[in-house]
Amino acid sequence: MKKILLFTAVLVLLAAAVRAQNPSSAASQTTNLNLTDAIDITFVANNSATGAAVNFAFNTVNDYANGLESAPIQMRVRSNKMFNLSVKSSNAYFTYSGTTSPAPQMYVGSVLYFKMTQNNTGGWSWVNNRYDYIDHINWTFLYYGVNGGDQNFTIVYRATPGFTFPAGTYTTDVIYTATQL
Amino acid sequence: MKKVIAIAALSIVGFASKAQSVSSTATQTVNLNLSNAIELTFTGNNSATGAAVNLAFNTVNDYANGVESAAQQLKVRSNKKFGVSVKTSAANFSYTGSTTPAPTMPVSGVLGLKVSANGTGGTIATPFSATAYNGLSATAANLISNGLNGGNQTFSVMYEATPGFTYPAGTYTVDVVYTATQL
Repeated sequence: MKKILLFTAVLVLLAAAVRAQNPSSAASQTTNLNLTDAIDITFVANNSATGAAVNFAFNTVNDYANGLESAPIQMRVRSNKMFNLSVKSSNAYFTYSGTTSPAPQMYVGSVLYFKMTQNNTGGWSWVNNRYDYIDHINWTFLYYGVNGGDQNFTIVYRATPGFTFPAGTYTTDVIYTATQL
Repeated sequence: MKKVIAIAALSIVGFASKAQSVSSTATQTVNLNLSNAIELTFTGNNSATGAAVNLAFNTVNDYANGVESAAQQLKVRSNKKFGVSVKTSAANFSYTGSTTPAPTMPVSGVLGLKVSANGTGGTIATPFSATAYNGLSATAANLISNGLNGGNQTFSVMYEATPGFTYPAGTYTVDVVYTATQL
């Protein structure tokens, strides 16, 4: 029995020795991932930073009385860091195209509102299902959005010009800015 | 008749003398003492230490889609059939940057490799392939099986990194170690 054990041990050692003697050669290469902070915000419908125009058609007195609401508009943030979202209009007043002269001055901040109806950013929103104004001063409406590749949210606009303004087309751009923390 | 016999005897003596010509031979043993030898190098610099591969993530699309390296060619010289294995030097990337504490990015799930060309005569070992990226880790995995002996047995690899949107800016580093072993 001892002889068998001894023989087995010798065989194992021999096998290990033979295996250890297999010549080998190693080569190595350093791999660097050079990460730069990156963020973008786009409209989901056209995967672009410029969304499709939103048109409010005021055709009846009820439209003027009640105001109009847009269809939901989904946006998406991609960021490798947490972020805030802010909003502003491109100008304090709508630009006017129409027949009235001089052009009427419609202040954006008292007419155009927005709210967030869906929030998948992981952040906290001031306008979560609650309308708040948009004007030419940039203000932060969402804090601490979480980094990710599909941090989406949905907004709805509301326009309430009242009965003060004559017919015509009143235009402003709304600018959203996503900023890394 | 006696004279004829005498001449014949002389002739025989003459032949006997010729058979005794002095000669000498010399022989020499030539031994080729071959030891098994194998070497693995990067053809780009003919060195066992390849040039650093830098994968730059500058846009969100880089983060979303991952970034792929150029092909890196390696060469094996071996007098026997061989296999090649691959692993990383550590389970996690080391970090250089401004974030504190340093983020921990695991190699597994982030760094992948494919064999974009194989001129070793061997086969690409599963799960690696020529078309799809497969993950690397700190555990050695077979990359090439049954490579044939030869002086220019080359293969090329490409890397892909997909860190996702989880990590802050900085440089994340790990070494990829290839080992060619004779069978």
